[in-house]
Amino acid sequence: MKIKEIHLAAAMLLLMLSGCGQTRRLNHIRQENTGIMLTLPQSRIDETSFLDDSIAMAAPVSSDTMTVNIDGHEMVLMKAIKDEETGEMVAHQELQAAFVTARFRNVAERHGNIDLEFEVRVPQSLVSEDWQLRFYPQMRILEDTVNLEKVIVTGSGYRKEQLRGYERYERFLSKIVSDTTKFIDLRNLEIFLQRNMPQIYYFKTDSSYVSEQQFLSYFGVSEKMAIDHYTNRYARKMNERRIAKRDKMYAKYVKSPIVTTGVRLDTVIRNAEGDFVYTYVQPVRTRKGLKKIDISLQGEMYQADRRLYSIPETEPLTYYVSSISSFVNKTPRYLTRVIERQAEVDATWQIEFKAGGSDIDFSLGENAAQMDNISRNLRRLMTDDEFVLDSITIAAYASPEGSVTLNNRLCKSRAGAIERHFDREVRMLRDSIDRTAGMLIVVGDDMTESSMSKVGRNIPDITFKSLNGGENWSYLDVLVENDERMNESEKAVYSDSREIRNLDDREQHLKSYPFYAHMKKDLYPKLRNVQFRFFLHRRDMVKDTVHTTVLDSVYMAGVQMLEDRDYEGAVSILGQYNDYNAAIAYVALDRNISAMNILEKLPETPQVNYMMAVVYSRFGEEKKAVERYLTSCRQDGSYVHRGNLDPEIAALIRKYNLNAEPEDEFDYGF
Amino acid sequence: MYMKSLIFSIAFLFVAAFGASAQQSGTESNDSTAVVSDTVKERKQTFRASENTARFAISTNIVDLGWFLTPNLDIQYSFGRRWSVEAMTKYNNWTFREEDPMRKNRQCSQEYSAGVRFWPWYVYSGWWFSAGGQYEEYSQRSLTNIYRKEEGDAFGLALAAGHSIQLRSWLNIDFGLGFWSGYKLYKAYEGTEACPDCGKRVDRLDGSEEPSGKFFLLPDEVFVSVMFIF
Repeated sequence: MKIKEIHLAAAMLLLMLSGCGQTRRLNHIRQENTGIMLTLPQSRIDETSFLDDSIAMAAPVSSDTMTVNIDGHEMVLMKAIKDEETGEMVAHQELQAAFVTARFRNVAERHGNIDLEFEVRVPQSLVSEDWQLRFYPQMRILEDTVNLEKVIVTGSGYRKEQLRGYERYERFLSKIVSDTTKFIDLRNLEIFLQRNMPQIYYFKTDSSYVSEQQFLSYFGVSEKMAIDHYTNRYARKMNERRIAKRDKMYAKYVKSPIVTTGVRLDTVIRNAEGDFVYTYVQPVRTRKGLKKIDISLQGEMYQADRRLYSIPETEPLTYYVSSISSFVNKTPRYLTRVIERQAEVDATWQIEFKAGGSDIDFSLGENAAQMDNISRNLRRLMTDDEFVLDSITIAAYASPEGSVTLNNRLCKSRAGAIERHFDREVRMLRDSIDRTAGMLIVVGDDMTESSMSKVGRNIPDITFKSLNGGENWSYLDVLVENDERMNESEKAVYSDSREIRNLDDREQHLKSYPFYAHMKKDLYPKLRNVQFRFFLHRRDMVKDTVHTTVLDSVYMAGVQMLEDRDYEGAVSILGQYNDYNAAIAYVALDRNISAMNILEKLPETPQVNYMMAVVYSRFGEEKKAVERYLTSCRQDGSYVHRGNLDPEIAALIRKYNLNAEPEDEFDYGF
Repeated sequence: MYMKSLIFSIAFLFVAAFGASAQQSGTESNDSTAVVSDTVKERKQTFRASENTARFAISTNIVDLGWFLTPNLDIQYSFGRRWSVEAMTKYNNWTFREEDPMRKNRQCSQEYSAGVRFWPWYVYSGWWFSAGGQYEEYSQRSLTNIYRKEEGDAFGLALAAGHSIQLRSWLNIDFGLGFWSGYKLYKAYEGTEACPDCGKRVDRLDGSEEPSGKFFLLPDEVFVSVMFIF
């Protein structure tokens, strides 16, 4: 009995201790405010950071020093050693070197992407079987704070509990019956129907009847009532209740669901030995004006669904972003444009005249509308801001029917009629515009006229000239050529008739052909038109041509795209210019051959040399790359530093130790 | 004896009356007529079962068969969804162990009853409750005292309840318990032999041949019947 008691006591003690152990650990963690470490990946720490080596900093406190209080005086006692040279006892203090880990790093942006790498280091004291650690990395880009994907470290016991929760929920789900016919006592129902409504079985296979059928027993009990009677309503209700509280049950059983979305890593730790280290790589899309990115890490510790401890936020890591587009040359580019003084406008209108007559009849055909149109256009040209109307030439054309001489005379008189009409109109318009002009009188303080000026548009005289266009054979040629109804042979006949010089004879010749009717009816009316030519000059311009420079907005848009890291767009615009900025765009897009083609022809500025170094490095021609780089550095010393920022050059610097300083000789002065 | 015939005739009348009424209601002619149902918009076709579907049921109680091999017959006829009328008869005139006078068993009895059954769901399915008049002519040895015998006529009201399990469309198995209460006219004998009319009269000590009458309330039957429905 006694031994059994002892065993029992021991077991209980062990249980208590193990439980206590966990709590003690937790308390310890809380007291120490244990945190996690966020560092740059250790392997590449000295590559691109500003600090090449760890800096040793003096730590003023050491265990060999102490402050004592003797007789009210404070004294500092230090360790003493014998100085070898002088033989005296001198105070000695050993300084402990403290190492600072770099917290910032330069990253180069390539193809619009930046790769950020950092290491998450979790001390062993935080990792336990029953706990789940969740880490939330945060990235600060310009004004945005972006939550990156979580990292989850799960203890094996925690995971087991999670799975058990899912199991319990599955077991609950398995109790739910989805097939509701399970609740019907089918056997009894079948027997009942067979006994009391046997007619069902005769009609069930007959589909010629309407679908609305009802079967009754002799005493009026329907199928539905029978089904209703033979269902286990209680079980069905319970099932429905289970279905309804599915979600609640999920929340109850699965207290901590296994999350897969938005999680970078969910790892289960079996044996926690040493710190947990995870290298997190995050590609980021670059943005305009992005110079640096901050990353910090927060975390939480969970048990079941309770949060035990909030891991304090780490110190942020800073990434400085360097880009090829910083090489862009922003000097503006101009185009020259030539502006002429003179301008001409041609316009054609169809004015109909009575046969043989040259009076303008407004009621004929579309004349009213066409004349109105001409007037409107005239007015517009006369009152235009940019141009001044000098003169107008009017030519009237006729169709070939009739004799040439008659037609010529007719045309001339018709053109003259139109000219007189519009001359009158122009004069009337000028008068009306003149009337709107006035005098501007500025009255001085003592109510006397101080200045007087004429305000209004000055419209110079417009000269008209009327011409006879004659029979419009040239236009007829065009019409025949494009005519759809005449076939090739007919068109050939027509063009052969052009050999006949005499126009009247030509017309006689064509009359004999069947297609003449079509020509006369459809094509001839189009030939009777009036052509206006307006001669204008630019207002206030004296010289015949002027050359001005205008900003090449297309080019500048391309440069802006380059600055905004839109490399594809920049190349599409700048490509045609084939200049330095185009080369930069090509380099940014890794189109090295196109870039080199341009760079070779450019004068050797430090930027060009540096770019060539980058491109040669990409080709693998290290010797040329190094030469170009060193030349550029000699031309402009700042490129020494820039070399560290671009991985192509940085690799060369490391390999050939290009930035090594010569051994300094410190002059101590004694 | 006239008591018997009286009860018999009442039972017969019962059955006949209901049978007649059932006949009348059975003249409905329909099998497949298009019936306009409740709402005017629906036009349902209703097919009602014929009047001869599952109306009669004949059953026999296996327990009784086992109890001294008493053949019994019970006929039921449904006249409504929840009601059936039944008439039952039981006859036993066998003698067992005739050779051994001490242990001779004689169970002479006839039993007739007529009543109604109420089925809460539907006739011939599920639970039922029955009530009816019952007449029994019995001659029975007492269970407690092997020398005592009782014979007489008992009549009264029998109540029973049970459950009918459907096995096939034409077959049920019926379980039930019943008891009855009424008045009996009997003569009790005690003797060394188990035989009718032998032994000393013990219920009436005045020597008359008149039976004594008593009210009684007794458990009546245990039903485990096989029921045939057609």
